Amino acid sequence: MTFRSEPTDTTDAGFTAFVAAGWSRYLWTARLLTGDRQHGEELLQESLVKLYTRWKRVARNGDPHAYLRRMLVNGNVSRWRRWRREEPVAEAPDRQDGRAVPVEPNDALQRAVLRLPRQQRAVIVLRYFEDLSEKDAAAVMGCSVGALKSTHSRALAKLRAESSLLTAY
Amino acid sequence: MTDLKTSLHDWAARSDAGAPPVDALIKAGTRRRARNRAAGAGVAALALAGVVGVALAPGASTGSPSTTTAAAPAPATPAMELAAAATSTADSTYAFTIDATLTLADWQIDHVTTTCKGAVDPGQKTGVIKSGHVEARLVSGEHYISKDTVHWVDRGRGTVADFMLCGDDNVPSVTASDPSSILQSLKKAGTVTKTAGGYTFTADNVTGTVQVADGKITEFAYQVDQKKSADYPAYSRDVTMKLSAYGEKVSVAKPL
Repeated sequence: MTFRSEPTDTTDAGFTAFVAAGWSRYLWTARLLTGDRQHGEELLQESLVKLYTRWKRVARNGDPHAYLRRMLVNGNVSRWRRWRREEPVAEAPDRQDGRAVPVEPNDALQRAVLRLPRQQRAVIVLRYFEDLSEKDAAAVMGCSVGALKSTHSRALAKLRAESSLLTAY
Repeated sequence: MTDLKTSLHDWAARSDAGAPPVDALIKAGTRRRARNRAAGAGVAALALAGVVGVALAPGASTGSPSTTTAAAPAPATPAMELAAAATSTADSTYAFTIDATLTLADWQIDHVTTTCKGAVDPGQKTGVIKSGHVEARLVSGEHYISKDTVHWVDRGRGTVADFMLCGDDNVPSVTASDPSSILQSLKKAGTVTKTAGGYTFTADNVTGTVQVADGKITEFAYQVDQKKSADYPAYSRDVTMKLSAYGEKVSVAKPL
Protein backbone atom coordinates (compact mmCIF):
# COMPACT_ATOMS: atom_id res chain seq x y z
CA MET A 1 0.00 0.00 0.00
CA THR A 2 1.34 3.40 -0.84
CA PHE A 3 0.36 6.31 1.28
CA ARG A 4 1.27 9.46 -0.45
CA SER A 5 0.88 13.03 0.47
CA GLU A 6 -1.51 15.01 -1.64
CA PRO A 7 -0.07 18.49 -1.77
CA THR A 8 -2.62 21.08 -0.86
CA ASP A 9 -1.20 24.45 -0.05
CA THR A 10 -3.93 24.97 2.51
CA THR A 11 -2.70 22.18 4.74
CA ASP A 12 -2.08 23.35 8.23
CA ALA A 13 -1.72 20.44 10.57
CA GLY A 14 2.03 20.69 10.92
CA PHE A 15 1.95 24.45 11.39
CA THR A 16 -0.87 24.22 13.90
CA ALA A 17 0.98 21.61 15.90
CA PHE A 18 4.19 23.61 15.76
CA VAL A 19 2.50 26.75 17.05
CA ALA A 20 0.58 24.91 19.74
CA ALA A 21 3.74 23.25 20.99
CA GLY A 22 5.96 26.32 20.95
CA TRP A 23 3.62 29.22 21.59
CA SER A 24 4.32 29.72 25.26
CA ARG A 25 8.07 29.54 24.90
CA TYR A 26 8.34 31.78 21.87
CA LEU A 27 5.97 34.31 23.32
CA TRP A 28 8.43 34.76 26.14
CA THR A 29 11.39 34.80 23.83
CA ALA A 30 9.74 37.59 21.86
CA ARG A 31 8.78 39.46 25.00
CA LEU A 32 12.32 39.27 26.29
CA LEU A 33 13.80 40.31 22.96
CA THR A 34 11.58 43.36 22.72
CA GLY A 35 11.47 43.96 26.45
CA ASP A 36 7.79 44.66 26.15
CA ARG A 37 4.74 42.45 26.48
CA GLN A 38 2.68 44.00 23.68
CA HIS A 39 5.56 44.42 21.27
CA GLY A 40 6.63 40.87 21.96
CA GLU A 41 3.22 39.49 21.11
CA GLU A 42 3.09 41.55 17.94
CA LEU A 43 6.56 40.43 16.96
CA LEU A 44 5.72 36.78 17.47
CA GLN A 45 2.45 37.00 15.57
CA GLU A 46 4.07 38.86 12.67
CA SER A 47 6.80 36.25 12.55
CA LEU A 48 4.40 33.32 12.66
CA VAL A 49 2.29 34.79 9.88
CA LYS A 50 5.40 35.07 7.74
CA LEU A 51 6.44 31.59 8.74
CA TYR A 52 3.06 30.23 7.69
CA THR A 53 3.52 31.62 4.20
CA ARG A 54 6.84 29.77 3.95
CA TRP A 55 5.91 26.78 6.08
CA LYS A 56 6.07 24.18 3.35
CA ARG A 57 9.62 25.07 2.40
CA VAL A 58 10.82 25.63 5.95
CA ALA A 59 9.34 22.40 7.26
CA ARG A 60 10.83 20.40 4.46
CA ASN A 61 14.25 21.93 4.27
CA GLY A 62 15.15 23.10 7.71
CA ASP A 63 14.51 23.44 11.38
CA PRO A 64 11.42 25.60 11.88
CA HIS A 65 12.52 26.43 15.42
CA ALA A 66 15.78 27.90 14.21
CA TYR A 67 13.98 29.68 11.41
CA LEU A 68 11.46 31.23 13.78
CA ARG A 69 14.15 32.31 16.24
CA ARG A 70 15.98 34.06 13.46
CA MET A 71 12.77 35.73 12.32
CA LEU A 72 12.19 36.96 15.86
CA VAL A 73 15.69 38.37 16.22
CA ASN A 74 15.68 40.00 12.79
CA GLY A 75 12.10 41.16 13.18
CA ASN A 76 12.98 42.81 16.46
CA VAL A 77 15.81 44.69 14.78
CA SER A 78 13.50 45.80 11.97
CA ARG A 79 10.84 46.92 14.39
CA TRP A 80 13.38 48.86 16.39
CA ARG A 81 14.77 50.58 13.29
CA ARG A 82 11.29 51.42 12.08
CA TRP A 83 10.34 52.74 15.44
CA ARG A 84 13.51 54.79 15.68
CA ARG A 85 12.83 56.41 12.28
CA GLU A 86 9.31 57.26 13.25
CA GLU A 87 9.91 58.43 16.78
CA PRO A 88 13.42 59.69 17.31
CA VAL A 89 14.19 60.03 20.95
CA ALA A 90 17.25 61.02 22.86
CA GLU A 91 17.48 57.80 24.77
CA ALA A 92 18.19 54.50 23.07
CA PRO A 93 14.82 52.78 22.64
CA ASP A 94 16.09 49.38 23.60
CA ARG A 95 17.00 50.60 27.01
CA GLN A 96 14.05 49.72 29.08
CA ASP A 97 12.79 52.01 31.76
CA GLY A 98 10.70 49.35 33.39
CA ARG A 99 7.34 50.76 32.33
CA ALA A 100 6.45 48.23 29.65
CA VAL A 101 8.10 45.02 30.65
CA PRO A 102 6.89 41.51 29.79
CA VAL A 103 5.93 40.73 33.35
CA GLU A 104 7.17 42.81 36.23
CA PRO A 105 10.64 41.51 37.13
CA ASN A 106 10.96 40.39 40.67
CA ASP A 107 14.69 40.54 41.10
CA ALA A 108 17.59 42.77 40.20
CA LEU A 109 18.88 40.33 37.63
CA GLN A 110 15.70 40.36 35.60
CA ARG A 111 15.61 44.13 35.69
CA ALA A 112 19.23 44.20 34.56
CA VAL A 113 18.42 41.95 31.60
CA LEU A 114 15.74 44.36 30.45
CA ARG A 115 18.20 47.24 30.61
CA LEU A 116 20.70 45.53 28.33
CA PRO A 117 21.15 46.91 24.81
CA ARG A 118 19.15 45.07 22.20
CA GLN A 119 21.91 42.89 20.77
CA GLN A 120 23.28 41.94 24.16
CA ARG A 121 19.83 41.09 25.43
CA ALA A 122 19.22 38.93 22.37
CA VAL A 123 22.36 36.93 23.08
CA ILE A 124 21.37 36.46 26.70
CA VAL A 125 17.88 35.34 25.69
CA LEU A 126 19.18 32.87 23.14
CA ARG A 127 21.87 31.45 25.40
CA TYR A 128 20.03 31.34 28.72
CA PHE A 129 16.34 31.23 27.89
CA GLU A 130 16.44 29.30 24.63
CA ASP A 131 19.40 27.27 25.87
CA LEU A 132 21.22 27.50 22.56
CA SER A 133 24.87 26.72 22.11
CA GLU A 134 27.21 29.50 21.07
CA LYS A 135 27.26 28.11 17.55
CA ASP A 136 23.48 27.93 17.27
CA ALA A 137 23.01 31.34 18.84
CA ALA A 138 25.51 32.83 16.41
CA ALA A 139 23.60 31.27 13.53
CA VAL A 140 20.37 32.81 14.76
CA MET A 141 22.02 36.19 15.23
CA GLY A 142 23.66 36.00 11.85
CA CYS A 143 27.13 36.62 13.21
CA SER A 144 30.32 34.69 13.84
CA VAL A 145 30.85 32.70 17.01
CA GLY A 146 33.62 35.10 17.91
CA ALA A 147 31.34 38.11 17.58
CA LEU A 148 28.72 36.34 19.64
CA LYS A 149 31.22 35.54 22.36
CA SER A 150 32.27 39.14 22.47
CA THR A 151 28.69 40.39 22.77
CA HIS A 152 27.98 37.70 25.32
CA SER A 153 30.96 38.73 27.39
CA ARG A 154 29.95 42.38 27.36
CA ALA A 155 26.40 41.47 28.33
CA LEU A 156 27.53 39.41 31.28
CA ALA A 157 29.88 42.14 32.42
CA LYS A 158 27.05 44.61 32.33
CA LEU A 159 24.75 42.25 34.19
CA ARG A 160 27.40 41.65 36.81
CA ALA A 161 27.93 45.32 37.28
CA GLU A 162 24.24 46.10 37.41
CA SER A 163 22.94 43.24 39.43
CA SER A 164 25.93 42.19 41.48
CA LEU A 165 24.09 38.93 41.79
CA LEU A 166 25.38 36.74 39.02
CA THR A 167 27.65 34.03 40.16
CA ALA A 168 26.65 30.91 38.35
CA TYR A 169 26.59 30.89 34.60
CA MET B 1 23.47 33.39 44.37
CA THR B 2 21.31 33.68 41.31
CA ASP B 3 21.50 31.66 38.18
CA LEU B 4 20.67 33.56 35.03
CA LYS B 5 19.01 30.66 33.27
CA THR B 6 16.88 29.80 36.27
CA SER B 7 15.92 33.39 36.76
CA LEU B 8 14.71 33.83 33.18
CA HIS B 9 12.71 30.63 33.22
CA ASP B 10 11.21 31.44 36.60
CA TRP B 11 10.26 34.81 35.26
CA ALA B 12 8.53 33.25 32.28
CA ALA B 13 6.79 30.72 34.49
CA ARG B 14 5.04 33.53 36.33
CA SER B 15 3.22 34.53 33.16
CA ASP B 16 0.33 32.77 31.47
CA ALA B 17 0.91 32.78 27.72
CA GLY B 18 -2.72 31.96 26.95
CA ALA B 19 -3.89 29.96 23.97
CA PRO B 20 -2.13 30.50 20.65
CA PRO B 21 -4.36 32.30 18.11
CA VAL B 22 -3.68 29.67 15.48
CA ASP B 23 -6.79 30.36 13.45
CA ALA B 24 -6.05 34.06 13.26
CA LEU B 25 -2.46 33.36 12.30
CA ILE B 26 -3.50 31.00 9.54
CA LYS B 27 -6.04 33.45 8.21
CA ALA B 28 -3.50 36.24 8.21
CA GLY B 29 -0.93 33.95 6.65
CA THR B 30 -3.39 32.87 3.99
CA ARG B 31 -4.13 36.48 3.12
CA ARG B 32 -0.45 37.31 2.98
CA ARG B 33 0.23 34.29 0.85
CA ALA B 34 -2.55 35.29 -1.51
CA ARG B 35 -1.01 38.73 -1.84
CA ASN B 36 2.39 37.21 -2.48
CA ARG B 37 0.85 34.93 -5.04
CA ALA B 38 -0.85 37.81 -6.75
CA ALA B 39 2.52 39.49 -7.06
CA GLY B 40 4.11 36.45 -8.60
CA ALA B 41 1.04 34.78 -9.93
CA GLY B 42 2.44 33.07 -12.98
CA VAL B 43 5.09 30.96 -11.36
CA ALA B 44 3.05 30.00 -8.34
CA ALA B 45 0.02 29.10 -10.38
CA LEU B 46 2.03 26.91 -12.67
CA ALA B 47 3.70 25.16 -9.77
CA LEU B 48 0.37 24.49 -8.13
CA ALA B 49 -1.10 23.30 -11.35
CA GLY B 50 1.73 20.85 -11.69
CA VAL B 51 0.99 19.47 -8.30
CA VAL B 52 -2.72 19.37 -8.87
CA GLY B 53 -2.15 17.53 -12.07
CA VAL B 54 -1.19 14.44 -10.19
CA ALA B 55 -3.69 14.88 -7.42
CA LEU B 56 -6.20 12.19 -7.22
CA ALA B 57 -9.68 12.86 -8.20
CA PRO B 58 -12.17 10.06 -7.85
CA GLY B 59 -12.14 8.25 -11.10
CA ALA B 60 -8.77 9.74 -11.97
CA SER B 61 -6.53 7.72 -9.77
CA THR B 62 -2.79 7.96 -10.04
CA GLY B 63 -2.65 4.22 -10.09
CA SER B 64 -3.91 1.83 -12.68
CA PRO B 65 -7.33 2.51 -14.16
CA SER B 66 -10.12 1.28 -11.96
CA THR B 67 -12.67 1.00 -14.68
CA THR B 68 -12.39 -2.75 -14.60
CA THR B 69 -13.70 -2.89 -11.06
CA ALA B 70 -17.33 -3.26 -12.06
CA ALA B 71 -16.57 -6.17 -14.33
CA ALA B 72 -14.24 -7.88 -11.93
CA PRO B 73 -15.25 -11.14 -10.33
CA ALA B 74 -16.50 -11.20 -6.77
CA PRO B 75 -13.81 -10.25 -4.25
CA ALA B 76 -11.93 -13.27 -3.10
CA THR B 77 -9.26 -11.93 -0.78
CA PRO B 78 -9.38 -9.43 2.09
CA ALA B 79 -7.30 -7.02 0.05
CA MET B 80 -9.72 -7.21 -2.83
CA GLU B 81 -12.68 -6.83 -0.54
CA LEU B 82 -11.12 -3.79 1.02
CA ALA B 83 -10.35 -2.36 -2.40
CA ALA B 84 -13.95 -2.90 -3.42
CA ALA B 85 -15.22 -1.16 -0.28
CA ALA B 86 -12.84 1.74 -0.90
CA THR B 87 -14.03 2.05 -4.48
CA SER B 88 -17.64 1.97 -3.44
CA THR B 89 -17.02 4.54 -0.74
CA ALA B 90 -15.03 6.89 -2.94
CA ASP B 91 -17.76 6.94 -5.54
CA SER B 92 -20.44 7.94 -3.05
CA THR B 93 -21.23 11.14 -1.26
CA TYR B 94 -20.24 11.07 2.39
CA ALA B 95 -19.63 13.15 5.48
CA PHE B 96 -16.40 12.83 7.42
CA THR B 97 -14.65 13.76 10.64
CA ILE B 98 -10.87 13.56 10.83
CA ASP B 99 -8.78 13.69 13.98
CA ALA B 100 -5.07 13.75 13.27
CA THR B 101 -2.60 13.69 16.15
CA LEU B 102 1.01 14.47 15.48
CA THR B 103 4.06 13.83 17.63
CA LEU B 104 7.36 15.15 16.35
CA ALA B 105 9.94 15.29 19.08
CA ASP B 106 12.52 17.30 17.14
CA TRP B 107 10.04 20.13 16.87
CA GLN B 108 8.75 19.70 20.41
CA ILE B 109 5.36 18.70 19.06
CA ASP B 110 3.78 16.31 21.49
CA HIS B 111 0.41 14.79 20.64
CA VAL B 112 -1.10 17.88 19.02
CA THR B 113 -4.44 17.10 17.41
CA THR B 114 -6.08 18.77 14.43
CA THR B 115 -9.73 18.14 13.67
CA CYS B 116 -11.52 18.61 10.36
CA LYS B 117 -15.16 18.04 9.50
CA GLY B 118 -16.95 18.14 6.20
CA ALA B 119 -18.84 16.41 3.45
CA VAL B 120 -18.11 15.73 -0.20
CA ASP B 121 -19.80 14.70 -3.38
CA PRO B 122 -16.92 13.40 -5.49
CA GLY B 123 -19.05 12.98 -8.59
CA GLN B 124 -20.12 16.59 -8.57
CA LYS B 125 -16.71 17.80 -7.37
CA THR B 126 -18.51 19.54 -4.55
CA GLY B 127 -17.79 19.65 -0.85
CA VAL B 128 -17.17 21.64 2.27
CA ILE B 129 -14.59 21.28 5.01
CA LYS B 130 -13.98 23.19 8.21
CA SER B 131 -11.00 23.21 10.51
CA GLY B 132 -11.27 25.67 13.35
CA HIS B 133 -12.45 28.89 11.79
CA VAL B 134 -11.02 28.13 8.40
CA GLU B 135 -13.41 26.83 5.79
CA ALA B 136 -12.92 25.64 2.25
CA ARG B 137 -15.55 24.85 -0.34
CA LEU B 138 -15.54 23.08 -3.64
CA VAL B 139 -18.51 23.95 -5.83
CA SER B 140 -18.72 22.13 -9.15
CA GLY B 141 -14.95 21.96 -9.29
CA GLU B 142 -14.34 25.59 -8.29
CA HIS B 143 -12.26 25.90 -5.13
CA TYR B 144 -12.88 28.63 -2.55
CA ILE B 145 -11.23 29.31 0.79
CA SER B 146 -12.38 31.70 3.48
CA LYS B 147 -10.28 34.76 4.21
CA ASP B 148 -12.38 35.61 7.27
CA THR B 149 -15.99 35.26 8.28
CA VAL B 150 -17.17 37.36 5.35
CA HIS B 151 -14.65 37.28 2.54
CA TRP B 152 -13.55 34.41 0.32
CA VAL B 153 -10.84 33.75 -2.20
CA ASP B 154 -11.52 31.92 -5.44
CA ARG B 155 -8.66 29.47 -5.86
CA GLY B 156 -9.72 28.35 -9.30
CA ARG B 157 -10.45 24.86 -10.54
CA GLY B 158 -9.70 22.00 -8.21
CA THR B 159 -10.52 18.50 -7.10
CA VAL B 160 -11.84 17.11 -3.85
CA ALA B 161 -8.31 16.46 -2.66
CA ASP B 162 -7.21 20.02 -3.39
CA PHE B 163 -9.52 21.67 -0.97
CA MET B 164 -8.79 19.53 2.07
CA LEU B 165 -7.50 21.42 5.07
CA CYS B 166 -6.49 18.42 7.13
CA GLY B 167 -4.03 16.92 4.74
CA ASP B 168 -0.49 17.67 5.69
CA ASP B 169 2.13 17.60 3.05
CA ASN B 170 4.72 19.14 5.31
CA VAL B 171 5.42 17.06 8.34
CA PRO B 172 3.99 13.64 7.70
CA SER B 173 5.46 13.10 4.33
CA VAL B 174 3.67 9.90 3.58
CA THR B 175 0.26 10.51 5.01
CA ALA B 176 -2.67 12.24 3.54
CA SER B 177 -5.47 13.16 5.84
CA ASP B 178 -8.17 13.57 3.28
CA PRO B 179 -10.56 10.72 2.76
CA SER B 180 -10.38 10.64 -1.00
CA SER B 181 -6.63 10.12 -0.93
CA ILE B 182 -6.91 7.43 1.68
CA LEU B 183 -9.65 5.63 -0.15
CA GLN B 184 -7.55 5.61 -3.26
CA SER B 185 -4.61 4.27 -1.27
CA LEU B 186 -6.72 1.54 0.20
CA LYS B 187 -7.48 0.26 -3.27
CA LYS B 188 -3.84 -0.70 -3.46
CA ALA B 189 -3.66 -2.09 0.04
CA GLY B 190 -0.82 -4.44 0.75
CA THR B 191 -1.06 -6.87 3.64
CA VAL B 192 -4.70 -7.01 4.63
CA THR B 193 -6.30 -9.27 7.21
CA LYS B 194 -9.99 -9.66 7.69
CA THR B 195 -11.36 -9.19 11.20
CA ALA B 196 -14.79 -9.12 12.73
CA GLY B 197 -16.42 -6.07 11.18
CA GLY B 198 -13.46 -4.92 9.19
CA TYR B 199 -9.84 -5.25 8.23
CA THR B 200 -6.38 -4.58 9.51
CA PHE B 201 -3.55 -3.65 7.26
CA THR B 202 0.15 -3.03 7.40
CA ALA B 203 2.43 -1.37 4.90
CA ASP B 204 5.85 0.12 5.34
CA ASN B 205 5.63 2.24 8.49
CA VAL B 206 1.86 2.25 8.51
CA THR B 207 -0.56 0.09 10.44
CA GLY B 208 -4.27 0.57 10.61
CA THR B 209 -7.77 -0.73 10.87
CA VAL B 210 -10.78 -0.27 8.63
CA GLN B 211 -14.37 -0.76 9.67
CA VAL B 212 -16.83 -1.61 6.93
CA ALA B 213 -20.62 -1.67 7.00
CA ASP B 214 -22.92 -2.36 4.06
CA GLY B 215 -19.96 -2.47 1.75
CA LYS B 216 -18.73 0.98 2.67
CA ILE B 217 -15.99 2.18 4.96
CA THR B 218 -17.30 3.73 8.15
CA GLU B 219 -14.10 4.24 10.09
CA PHE B 220 -10.51 4.25 9.12
CA ALA B 221 -7.68 4.59 11.63
CA TYR B 222 -3.99 4.36 11.03
CA GLN B 223 -0.73 5.09 12.70
CA VAL B 224 2.47 6.11 10.99
CA ASP B 225 5.80 5.71 12.73
CA GLN B 226 8.22 7.37 10.42
CA LYS B 227 11.93 7.22 10.97
CA LYS B 228 14.09 10.24 10.31
CA SER B 229 14.62 10.79 6.62
CA ALA B 230 16.43 13.27 4.43
CA ASP B 231 13.29 15.39 4.29
CA TYR B 232 11.76 15.05 7.75
CA PRO B 233 12.62 14.33 11.34
CA ALA B 234 11.15 11.21 12.88
CA TYR B 235 7.48 11.53 13.74
CA SER B 236 4.42 9.55 14.57
CA ARG B 237 0.95 10.37 13.44
CA ASP B 238 -2.36 8.90 14.47
CA VAL B 239 -5.28 9.58 12.19
CA THR B 240 -8.87 8.54 12.67
CA MET B 241 -11.46 9.19 10.00
CA LYS B 242 -15.12 8.52 10.50
CA LEU B 243 -17.22 8.43 7.38
CA SER B 244 -21.01 8.58 7.37
CA ALA B 245 -24.12 9.84 5.58
CA TYR B 246 -23.41 7.86 2.44
CA GLY B 247 -25.52 8.77 -0.53
CA GLU B 248 -27.00 11.84 1.04
CA LYS B 249 -27.13 14.97 -1.01
CA VAL B 250 -24.28 17.41 -0.41
CA SER B 251 -25.29 20.98 -1.11
CA VAL B 252 -22.67 23.66 -0.93
CA ALA B 253 -23.40 27.29 -1.68
CA LYS B 254 -21.04 29.22 -3.89
CA PRO B 255 -19.57 31.80 -1.55
CA LEU B 256 -18.78 34.46 -4.13
